[in-house]
Amino acid sequence: MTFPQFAYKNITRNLRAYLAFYLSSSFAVMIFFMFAMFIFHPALETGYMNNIAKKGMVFAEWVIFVFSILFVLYSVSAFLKTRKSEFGILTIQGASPKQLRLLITLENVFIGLASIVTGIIGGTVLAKLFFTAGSYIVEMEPLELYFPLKALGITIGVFLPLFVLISQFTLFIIHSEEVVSLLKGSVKPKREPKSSIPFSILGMMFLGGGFGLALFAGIDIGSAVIITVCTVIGTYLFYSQLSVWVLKLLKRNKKFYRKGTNLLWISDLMYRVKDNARLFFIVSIVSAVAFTATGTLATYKSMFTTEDSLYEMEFLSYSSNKDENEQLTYIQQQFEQKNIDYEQSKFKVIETGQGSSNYPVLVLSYKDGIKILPELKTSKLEEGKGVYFGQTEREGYTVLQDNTTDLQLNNQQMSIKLQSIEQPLLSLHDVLVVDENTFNLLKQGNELVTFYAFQFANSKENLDISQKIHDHIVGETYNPDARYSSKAIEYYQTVQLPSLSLFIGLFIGIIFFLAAGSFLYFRLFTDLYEERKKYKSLAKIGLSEKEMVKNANIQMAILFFLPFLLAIVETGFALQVLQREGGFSNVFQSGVITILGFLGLQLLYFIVIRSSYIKNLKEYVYR
Amino acid sequence: MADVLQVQDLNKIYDGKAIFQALTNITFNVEKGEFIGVMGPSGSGKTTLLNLISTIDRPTSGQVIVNGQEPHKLKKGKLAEFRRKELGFVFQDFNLLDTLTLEENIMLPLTLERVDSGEIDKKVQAITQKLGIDSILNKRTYEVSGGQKQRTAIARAIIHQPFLLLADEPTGNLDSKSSKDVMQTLQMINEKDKTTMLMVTHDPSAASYCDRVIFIKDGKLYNEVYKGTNQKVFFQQILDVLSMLGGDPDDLSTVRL
Ligand SMILES: Nc1ncnc2c1ncn2[C@@H]1O[C@H](COP(=O)(O)OP(=O)(O)O)[C@@H](O)[C@H]1O
Ligand SMILES: [Mg+2]
Repeated sequence: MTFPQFAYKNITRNLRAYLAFYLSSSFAVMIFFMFAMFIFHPALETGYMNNIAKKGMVFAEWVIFVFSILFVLYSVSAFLKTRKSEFGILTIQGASPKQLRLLITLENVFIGLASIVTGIIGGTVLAKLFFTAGSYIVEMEPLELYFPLKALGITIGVFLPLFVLISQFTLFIIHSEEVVSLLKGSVKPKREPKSSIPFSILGMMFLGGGFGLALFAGIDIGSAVIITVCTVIGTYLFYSQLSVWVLKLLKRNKKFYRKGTNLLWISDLMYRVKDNARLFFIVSIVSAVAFTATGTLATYKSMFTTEDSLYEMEFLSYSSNKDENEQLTYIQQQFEQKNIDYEQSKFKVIETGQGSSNYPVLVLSYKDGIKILPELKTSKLEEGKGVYFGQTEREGYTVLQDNTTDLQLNNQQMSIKLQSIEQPLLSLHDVLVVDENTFNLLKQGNELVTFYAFQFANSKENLDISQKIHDHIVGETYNPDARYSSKAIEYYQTVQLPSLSLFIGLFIGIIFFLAAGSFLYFRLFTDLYEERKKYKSLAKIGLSEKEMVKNANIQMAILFFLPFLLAIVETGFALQVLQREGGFSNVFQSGVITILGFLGLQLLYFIVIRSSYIKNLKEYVYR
Repeated sequence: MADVLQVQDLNKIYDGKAIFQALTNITFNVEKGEFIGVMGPSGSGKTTLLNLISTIDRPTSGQVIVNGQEPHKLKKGKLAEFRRKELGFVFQDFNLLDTLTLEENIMLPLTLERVDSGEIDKKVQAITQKLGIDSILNKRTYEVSGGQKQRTAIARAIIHQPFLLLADEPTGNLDSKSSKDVMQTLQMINEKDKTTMLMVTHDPSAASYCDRVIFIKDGKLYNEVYKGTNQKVFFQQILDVLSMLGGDPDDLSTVRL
């Protein structure tokens, strides 16, 4: 090689190294910034966020933070690896350690700054895109783009020191190495990966232990931490020890190992798995978090059924309620403060239970029933007969058989003959309307309660006062003397909150997914140059194009889907815990849908990356 | 004796940013069992010629006929099969895979051919004993010397008994002792197995192991020299042609015997 050739090669190779480092750092910044922007979004800070979702988001934020550090560290070491020989040459040519230090620090800070700027711009664009697309998907008002001062501050505050620190770390590595080994740089062949049987077994035990506990143990903070730690350690050992061990066993099977390209990919995979153990580990954990978060938050969307009340607000007061008048005044005050025209109705009703399960029901007299629903006039009610307003099925539980004709009320000898079953009238309770005589008869064995109903326009915008009233009457948890229900709160809980949750889930999922994908991408294309050389020399000794493609396919498929598979398994166990302990009844179903969705995305990603990778190989190796 | 390799009117033009004629009207024949050396100054087109013969690259015009076949007319899949069955390669930088043991490197062509595992063991054993590398089979490339690596590469190149063995500067990365080992190994294979060989080199002492040396200059055939009975005389003849060729003095500094 002539000197100009050498110089040219050195520059082009470094250009690639610089570019890869810059791009991957930008990506880490972008993801971190997008998430920060989301977490500090005003619409989320003020909302009545569900506790679990909130904790989940904070957890995800931490994971992203750790992940960003690892990501940047990883790209720096890849960057260094390709430039080691350059440092060696510089040292030999008489560059002083001071000069080298200045060069590297400046380089890192400069690339760092550039990637912070790019990352923030990219993050803003992508966030806007996602806010719009995401809200379209989950049918909620788009989150607006705001000026994310906090997110900006945190992103810059985290990454700038990170780049400076990492450059010092880089220097440390360079200083501790001999010039000769620097010169040899990345061409030094790697040693054969070792795996220890005790560590492999330990890995199996950790994974098995974590999964076993997830299946059978009672879940509290302590056991949750133990399960997480077990799974995390197990996952790491799975890639760094267990998989190498399994491949070694596979090698012993000579018939299989010495068939076609098996020899090539198995031996190569051993290096790859060991080399990429940390990458695989991060991708697995990150994907598992993403799947679990999305799956869990997606369940909210389908957990509630909307109920339609004729009234905007309902207030039910038992005879034991001493504060009835005060509470009523409070409600009225709220309306007056907001200048809301409202109509108030008051009924004396009976609260009792029906059927074998004693499902609560409000009994109204025909006279009051007509006041609520004038259409009732058309159907005359005979003595002992009634009309039932309610849903026969609720959250998978049968309240009332569809064809029930006799309704057995609590504490009553006689049963009410049902004339018909209609859609619900009120949201607090099911309603039974009976004729006056029957009503008077029922009054005797049961408690009379006072029912207030309020009607006004524009209810959905009155979440504020509804929440106030709710806090005043019901308090934090429960008031045995009074009930309160508001359409605005109901709407928020059954429509807005689930949509928001799903949106957050999707956001977290996609961000993590992108992160994992970018990790794989950078790894793949860092190795591409060596792979091309390898295949070129194999082609010379007669490896056909078909065999090369097959070999590359196997390697890529493993790179893309091995961490994915483990993540699916881990997600399965996590969802199992949530279903059992978290009260998410249909979490499995939404988990499966989520995983299928991500699998589809991953497949798409694989197909796209694969084709460009293979095309690149083919062009270089078999022009 | 029949010509097993015929090179006829071979031209190669690289058309990159600047069009460059690397080979012009190269014609020569090689007989069965012959050991041919190709010499010439750096950049004269030796590697290009070898790449054309080995079908790694395509000629702009002209023909290469190996054992009556024209490999450049084969389809891609058949071409790979042709290389695998008929040709063996030895490279300057060994081209051994770091991820494999030496033994696995040697057996690689056989596994690609899906030869039975027991058969593989037999062949590997026979060939490595012949080349004196049977004791280092379980080592990896970074654990052995350059000469051992090159002998491993030779073992890989001949394990399937190729029709034609091609070598590009096989001693280029080796010290003189290892060079001698490798050349003696190649000579032994040539004599024992009657394998036809074509070796590119700019090391005159390596070339003196050949039966005949072809010289190229600026992509054209310049001269050829046949070995008589004495290797030392042959070596001197080679040096004479090289000095006429005006190769850079650098090439001569590697002289050794
Ligand atoms: N792929 C290529 N594209 C363009 N020019 C090339 C290419 N490969 C070799 N050359 C040129 O062809 C000439 C012969 O190269 P080569 O066969 O490698 O020479 P040698 O092996 O004798 O040193 C050189 O001038 C070289 O620059
Ligand atoms: Mg050459």
